[in-house]
Amino acid sequence: MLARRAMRPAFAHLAFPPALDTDPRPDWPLAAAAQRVILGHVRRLLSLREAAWNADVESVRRLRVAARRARTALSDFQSLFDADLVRDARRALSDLADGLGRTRDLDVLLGLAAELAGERPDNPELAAACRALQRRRDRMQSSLHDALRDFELAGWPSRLVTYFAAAPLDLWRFVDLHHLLQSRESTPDS
Amino acid sequence: MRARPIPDLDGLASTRSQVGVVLGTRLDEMLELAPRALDPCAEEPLHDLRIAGKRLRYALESLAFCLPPWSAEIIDQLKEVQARLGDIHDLDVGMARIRRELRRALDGLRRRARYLADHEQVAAFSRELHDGEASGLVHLLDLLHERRALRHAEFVLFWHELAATGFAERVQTLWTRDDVDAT
Repeated sequence: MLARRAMRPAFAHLAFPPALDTDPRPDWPLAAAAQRVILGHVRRLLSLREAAWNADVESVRRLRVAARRARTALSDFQSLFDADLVRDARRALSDLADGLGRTRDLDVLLGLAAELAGERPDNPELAAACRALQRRRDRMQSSLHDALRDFELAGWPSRLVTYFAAAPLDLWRFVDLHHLLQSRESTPDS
Repeated sequence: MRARPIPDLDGLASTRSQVGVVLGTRLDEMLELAPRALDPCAEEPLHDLRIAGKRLRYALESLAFCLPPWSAEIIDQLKEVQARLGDIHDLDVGMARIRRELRRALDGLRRRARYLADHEQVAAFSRELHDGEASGLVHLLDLLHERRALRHAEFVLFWHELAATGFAERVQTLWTRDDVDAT
């Protein structure tokens, strides 16, 4: 158990299709737009893993938001994708967000409690309650690492990128003709 | 609450032609949940409305490239809805946590009561009862209840005002008007 707690995942860097850096247009096929939306959230999520592991509060918050957004996009466009994969990916993202959120809920409560106790400085019982909540918060820190590690060890980063870059449309080969023509027009003849 | 499935999307059709199917489903989902969330005692419906509002906002943001520029105003209004519902939800989650901590603290007090009574230290136990964490948690719970009631009343007022401005109709016009193509 101790060895597992100390183990920090490698957080591999993955490549994304160039279509992610192209502005989508209303005449794009819905599938391409949906894949781009999902991969965009996945890319953001993956870029925040290391900072979140180091308990940077803002990175943890942003990673949770990216996980929630990816989950929501999967629900919106689920009929375009493999049903089993969408179900499993939603569960994995949900577990990740929940694991990161456990400490966040207590942080919010501690903030509220400190505010209320601060308004009543002569109240020893409120101060005692705050100390009890802080002790509980300190004991929960490991859930953040557990959530990030489980997500990595299950291979979700590469599974998400591999699938949504290739299905149903192959985004690695996706070319927006409008953008292509525009870039040709703006390039002077050689 | 599970998101309502959106069947029959055509992946090869233009995104523009499918926007109404996605956004219409998410808007309906949110509006159907709203009446129950206005009950001040209902925690779960309020949480569901918050989630539904978030789904609608995320979908609007993802598909903004197919919507007119004024969709940003709708997104801002949804952010306001969510901020208010988020505050209430934080209080609900916090109160649930305090109840759990209180149960633990009371178990501890029962054990201490037996020990201190055996050692004839009633005064020490009395001090612990009045100034200890259990008493503080009860006090904190009271304060959070009070704040929750206030925030909920403010939300109900805000929601009625939003409805009076024709919020739902304006969201629908995002994809039913002729000028929906932002490009």
